[in-house]
Amino acid sequence: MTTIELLASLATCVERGKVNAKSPFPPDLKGQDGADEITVRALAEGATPQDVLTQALMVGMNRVGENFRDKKIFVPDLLMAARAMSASMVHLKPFFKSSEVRLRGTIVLGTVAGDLHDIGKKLVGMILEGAGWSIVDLGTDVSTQKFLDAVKEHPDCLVGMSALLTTTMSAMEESVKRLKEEYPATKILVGGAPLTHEFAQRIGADFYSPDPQGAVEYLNTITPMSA
Amino acid sequence: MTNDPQIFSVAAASLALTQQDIVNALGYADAPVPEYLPDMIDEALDAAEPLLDVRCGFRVYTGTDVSLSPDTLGCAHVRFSTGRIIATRLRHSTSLAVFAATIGPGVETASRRLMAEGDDLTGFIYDTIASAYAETAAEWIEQTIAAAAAADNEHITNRYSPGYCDWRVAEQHALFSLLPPGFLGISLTESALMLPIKSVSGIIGIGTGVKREQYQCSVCDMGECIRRKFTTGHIHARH
Ligand code: B1M
Repeated sequence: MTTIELLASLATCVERGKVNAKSPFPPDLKGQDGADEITVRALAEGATPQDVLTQALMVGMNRVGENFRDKKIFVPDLLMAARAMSASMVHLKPFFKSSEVRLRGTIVLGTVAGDLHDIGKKLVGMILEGAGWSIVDLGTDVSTQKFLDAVKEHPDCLVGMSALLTTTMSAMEESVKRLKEEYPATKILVGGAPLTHEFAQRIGADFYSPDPQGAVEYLNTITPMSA
Repeated sequence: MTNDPQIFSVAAASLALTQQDIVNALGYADAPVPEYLPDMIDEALDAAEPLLDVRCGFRVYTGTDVSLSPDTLGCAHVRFSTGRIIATRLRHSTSLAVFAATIGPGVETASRRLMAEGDDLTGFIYDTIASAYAETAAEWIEQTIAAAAAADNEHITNRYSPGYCDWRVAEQHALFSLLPPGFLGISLTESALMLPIKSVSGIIGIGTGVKREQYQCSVCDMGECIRRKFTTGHIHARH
């Protein structure tokens, strides 16, 4: 296989959640190499770590994000895809240190104060990671001060906030307001089941998306990825 | 019907959750189910069962304790701003049952632990099972209230929860003030989140002139609401 074919096949492994050769899923790929082995082969055949990221992992995860948005796949499929991506990423990690792999930037993610919902925000993090971003996950019940401290620590970051209850949307409003006062240039994305576009606009957030892929597409418009 | 608080400890077996329920809750009601899922669901259902601590209960308010207006609901010392949709559905009630149901923290804690250990998929299946049990526990208490009402030749309305149909979640604090302190072991955070998380609360109207109805989502503007998805057939889970 050429490196181009290997990268295409790696993208498919991510899309289909094929982790490694031992993994019996999906059944039609049983016995074949998975994301783990194909990454090793692609690097050995001369693909650069950056190629692996942009031409395979990001391609595969983008399809996953689209399919998830279109309800063609569901959370378990997404989690299998994220597993496959992680199995590949393990081989890229050494190249992050040597700057041979350049990520697009950092996104600080958190569920706002008073809100303990974790899973939706975590899924957003996985898809954004698959779009080439480094994720700093602050967890749940994140106070405004914690968001402020994280932005201070990662000055060029973007911020993503999640809220699942109308009662915690006011905490989101407060956090967005304070962040914008201190760091007006920092872009803030918001999401979560009870939110609306109008609410996001009213509180001064830069973007609202009902699903993770919407966030990816917005980020593509403001920070295009160069291969 | 007695006005004393009623509390039940419910055996998991009486909630009878099936593999298919979880398949549906995960989104695959009308889609091919990945091969790995059925076994994982079965294992998770088995593992979850001993972690359940299902408690359900209600308290009935009646007579002068109940006063209804076109968009509010008076219950003892509390006046809820439920909005028109719920107030209209409850308008012929002569009693109100304030209810709660919880499955305890066990399954959710196990789910979080699995995720922290890196097994997101199994953790998510546990979480989905816990949510499904919480909804089934709410159905169980609704049926129990229906049976108690039937014994007095009365009917019940649908159950309505703060957070639905224009009824603000913040009114959870007022709702819980109508139940004994620490009811079923549930506590409320300042932001009105119930702990344990996998809990449901609400109100059911009782009377001879009330009935259960289809949800009328066309009269509400909450676009992303789960009830809307349910009534339009996109999602099969509901509180
Ligand atoms: C930064 O950019 C971004 C971009 C996208 C972003 C983003 C950030 N963050 C999230 N996203 C988006 O991408 C993620 C991946 O797709 C998504 O994240 P989610 O976290 O939304 O998605 C998860 C992966 C899966 N989603 C979920 O797990 C939530 C699903 C729904 C159906 C839901 C469930 C399952 C449950 N619930 Co309830 N519940 C609902 C939900 C309705 C819905 N349509 O979402 C919601 C959240 N619940 C609601 C309510 C009201 C309640 N619930 C309650 C109870 C329950 C169950 C126990 C039955 C169960 C579990 C709850 C739990 N917290 O674990 C009660 C509260 C519980 C408590 N502890 O206090 C109760 C208060 C009802 C009551 N009075 O009993 C509503 C909140 C709205 C509001 N008014 O505040 C609700 C939206 C339902 C509705 N009305 O449509 C997107 O939102």
